[in-house]
Amino acid sequence: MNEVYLALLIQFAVFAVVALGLDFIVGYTKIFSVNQGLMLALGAFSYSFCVKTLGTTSLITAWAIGIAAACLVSLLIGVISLRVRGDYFVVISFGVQIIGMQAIFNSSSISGGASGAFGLPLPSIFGWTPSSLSQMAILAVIITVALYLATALLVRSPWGRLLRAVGDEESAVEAAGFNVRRMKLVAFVLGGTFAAIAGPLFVGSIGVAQVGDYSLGLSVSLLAMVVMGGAGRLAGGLVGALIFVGVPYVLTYTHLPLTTAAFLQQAIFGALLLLVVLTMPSGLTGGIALGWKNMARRRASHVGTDTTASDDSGRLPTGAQR
Amino acid sequence: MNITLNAVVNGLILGCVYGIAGMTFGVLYRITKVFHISFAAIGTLGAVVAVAVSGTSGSWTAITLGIIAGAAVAAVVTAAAFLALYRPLIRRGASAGITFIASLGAFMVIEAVVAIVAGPDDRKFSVMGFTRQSEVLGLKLSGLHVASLALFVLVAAAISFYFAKTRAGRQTRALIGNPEQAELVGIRVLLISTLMCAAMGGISIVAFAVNGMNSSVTFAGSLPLTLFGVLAMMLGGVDNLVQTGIAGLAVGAVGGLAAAILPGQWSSTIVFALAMVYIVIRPTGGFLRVRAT
Repeated sequence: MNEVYLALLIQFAVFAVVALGLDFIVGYTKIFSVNQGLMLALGAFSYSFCVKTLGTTSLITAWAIGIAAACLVSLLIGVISLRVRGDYFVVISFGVQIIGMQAIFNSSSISGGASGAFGLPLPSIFGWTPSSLSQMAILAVIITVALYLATALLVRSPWGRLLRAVGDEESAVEAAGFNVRRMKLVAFVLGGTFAAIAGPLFVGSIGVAQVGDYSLGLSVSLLAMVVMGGAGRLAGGLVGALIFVGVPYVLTYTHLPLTTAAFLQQAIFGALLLLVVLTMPSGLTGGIALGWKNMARRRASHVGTDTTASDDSGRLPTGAQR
Repeated sequence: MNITLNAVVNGLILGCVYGIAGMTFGVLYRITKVFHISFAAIGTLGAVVAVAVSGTSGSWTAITLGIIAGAAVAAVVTAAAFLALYRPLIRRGASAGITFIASLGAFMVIEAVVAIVAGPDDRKFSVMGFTRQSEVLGLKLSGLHVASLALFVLVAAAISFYFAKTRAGRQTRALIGNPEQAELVGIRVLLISTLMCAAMGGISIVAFAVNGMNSSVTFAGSLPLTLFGVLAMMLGGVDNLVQTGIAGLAVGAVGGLAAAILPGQWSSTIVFALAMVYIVIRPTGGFLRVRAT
């Protein structure tokens, strides 16, 4: 396969994992968090730390460091979310993103400061190192499929259904005797963990880790990606990631200057977000599912009308004929 | 010592900007009940218009005209966002999360369209001698510093006067408290809400323009400025204009002090960290026993 498509496939896999994780927070507990860019950065810079400081390309080591850091930060954000809610939490969430990224930027031994960390090799796992981009793409897809299946099992389990109930009617779940606080914290930790898993795959495949790539804008776009695809729906994250990766690629055909293309991409995401909010509150996948259901119902009722029509055509019901 | 004091004074001047942003955002938030994050993009739009209209002459008249033009554009766009986006969603019973996402979408579209149409480069106001500093009591002050402080006091006084002393202000307070009941007693809720959105959107351009004169008008700078304004609103208490203004000054002063003591890149980290601790301890905000306005 063409190297461009392979790179796109890896990016799709990475952002699908990020979206699946963010969905635990936004889609299930319905807390609008703008931190996923920071979590992805923690994973990404844990890999550059492993390569530059520890001298290893092991994904397992990078994941161990990245997941530990992401879990700590997620727990902190989760604890804050228990005390500060709604719009106020959004501001806190923006604040954590700014603080976290500045801390990473200022730790130049890890992040490489303003210039970033370059020349990162493809990561290895259990002693095996992908020798080409196609092998790296296979690894990324396997990890994404595994996490997708794990998420599917989790959200369909009693715990997953309870988590969805927390987002819909928190007080009812609390009244039923469940520990809502713990469930929210677990959702935050899962979201952070997924992003920390995606981070090393991302920087390992592109070979560069730069603080500027994980700005507030990325976190906002990731939130938009999940809402666009359909928050609280497994396929929603995948559709969101497809749009997130596909639109910039399509825009390369316009041959616009890079900055203009970036703003055009932002305008398209924004317009899609507005379209979804105004016409399909459950996202593109939710809208498609609803449209499909309505079409099926209409078809069924149409068939029903036909039956009536044939009944009205003069023929008597079977019993009457007899 | 003088360097530290000057840094705090510079921070206080920046705090005037945060205070204005906080007060206008606060009124918009109370009226629409929407976390109007597109405030940042509309601010950029207004500031870009202000720079374009003020031209290169650098006179106060040209700059004032520029700000008025920017404010007019921002007023129209803010009112349009309320009428075409937030109101239909609220009438449909959309949650706060959905209206926030809608505002986020509007932010992305407005900012991108401004960048594509007007160009993505940073812009500078032609302020000529207004940024020249002279020493007063050991402090380095410029005309822009004095103007920022004067504008902050003027905006705070004007909004406070409107709410406390005018009939329309009392009606606005009533509709903020209970829009349905306000409508029942004959208050023109839609008209007042729309006009207030336009007014606050317009006034907020003062903050974005002054910030642009201090440094430059950038696309990356509008969101942090808005967030500092919102932080001031949260620290002061959403229903208290005076404290929001004071909190804006405090946020600026702490940022200035942090910049003087620590390396510059840590200053906003310190401000956000301290503010977050305060908000977690006291989510309703407020620090003085002052009557809510």
